[in-house]
Amino acid sequence: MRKLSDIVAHIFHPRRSNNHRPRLLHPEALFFVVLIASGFVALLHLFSGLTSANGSILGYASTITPKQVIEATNQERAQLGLKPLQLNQSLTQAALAKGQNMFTDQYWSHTAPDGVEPWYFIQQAGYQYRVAGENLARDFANTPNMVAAWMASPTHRANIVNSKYEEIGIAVIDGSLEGYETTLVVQMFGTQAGVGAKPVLGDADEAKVVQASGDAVKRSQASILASLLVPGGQVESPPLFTPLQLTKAFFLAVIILIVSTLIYDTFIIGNRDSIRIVGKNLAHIFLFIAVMYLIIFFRGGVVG
Amino acid sequence: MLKELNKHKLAYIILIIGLVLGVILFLGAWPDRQTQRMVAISIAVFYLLWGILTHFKTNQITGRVVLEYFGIGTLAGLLLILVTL
Repeated sequence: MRKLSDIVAHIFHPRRSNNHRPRLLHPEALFFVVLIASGFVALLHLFSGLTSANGSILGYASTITPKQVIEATNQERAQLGLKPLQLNQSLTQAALAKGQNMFTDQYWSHTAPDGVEPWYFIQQAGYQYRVAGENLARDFANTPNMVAAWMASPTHRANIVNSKYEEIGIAVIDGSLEGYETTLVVQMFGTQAGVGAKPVLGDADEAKVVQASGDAVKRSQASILASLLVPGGQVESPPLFTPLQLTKAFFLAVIILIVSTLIYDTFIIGNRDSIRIVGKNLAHIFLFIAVMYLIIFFRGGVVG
Repeated sequence: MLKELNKHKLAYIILIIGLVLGVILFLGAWPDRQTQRMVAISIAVFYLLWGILTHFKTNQITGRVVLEYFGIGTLAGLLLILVTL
């Protein structure tokens, strides 16, 4: 028992054994904390497939519905005086096929690992386009956040407020991507070619958003949990936690521990007549408060 | 703490301005995670340089002090980068 209290004191209390600076604030200990934080994230990815009797433990639950996405998209267009987009079943089919393909082949990109581009799915659905475009999103909990993310990204915004588009197709699909339960949203835009007109691929290429994330592509056991449009909130057992929630909780705990130690050290040393040459506790506290603020207000979701 | 703040007023003003700027840039870069990671690295580098310069000016610089700022900066930057993964 005495040994344990000795270890705790050595880590958190400035005294002779730690050169009058809590061991936790020594550079070696800080690098050890760096390793722990990295290890935590690595483990989170490693055990992302864990399930309980009630379903997945880790993943992203969402309340996004196709209807909300179309309404929000048209609201953004209306603000610029653009005509609302009309829902097109062929484009919706194309969006659904693209989403299913991403789950099956486990990729997160506009272009499939085998080189198939979004236009392939549009053509397969029987939609003869003059211009076409695609926006992707994943890991968002709700529609407003997702549309706000698209609008904050110049390339995605360009698709949403493109006056050349007349129709839209939306797929909201739940499934497992790169180890996590998530909701993928595929937004396909298009304008049909006139009778006898040939599709202009160049325009389509221009409209395509090319800001896909470069995540590694995993060709493995793809599992499509839902191949139909599943409105959020109707999924029977949503994951218990999102990986982001767990990461935030762990990192905030680490920061609170370090900041508390810094405050304690400042207080103890302030009441002693000792001189030591170390970093400035107050500056460290300011930095960690800024990091804490950023972690708390960091918004999840990925657009592509 | 107040004594320390008053003693190095200018240094802390620069630090706070730098950190507030970092916070604005990081949150403003959303949803571009690549840019957010670059901002996180910039915050870490800024903090390391701030620490070295501040201690250099007060003639209180040692290898371990530099290492401490490097450790604190690395930890802060890494936590921000990891949260964007």
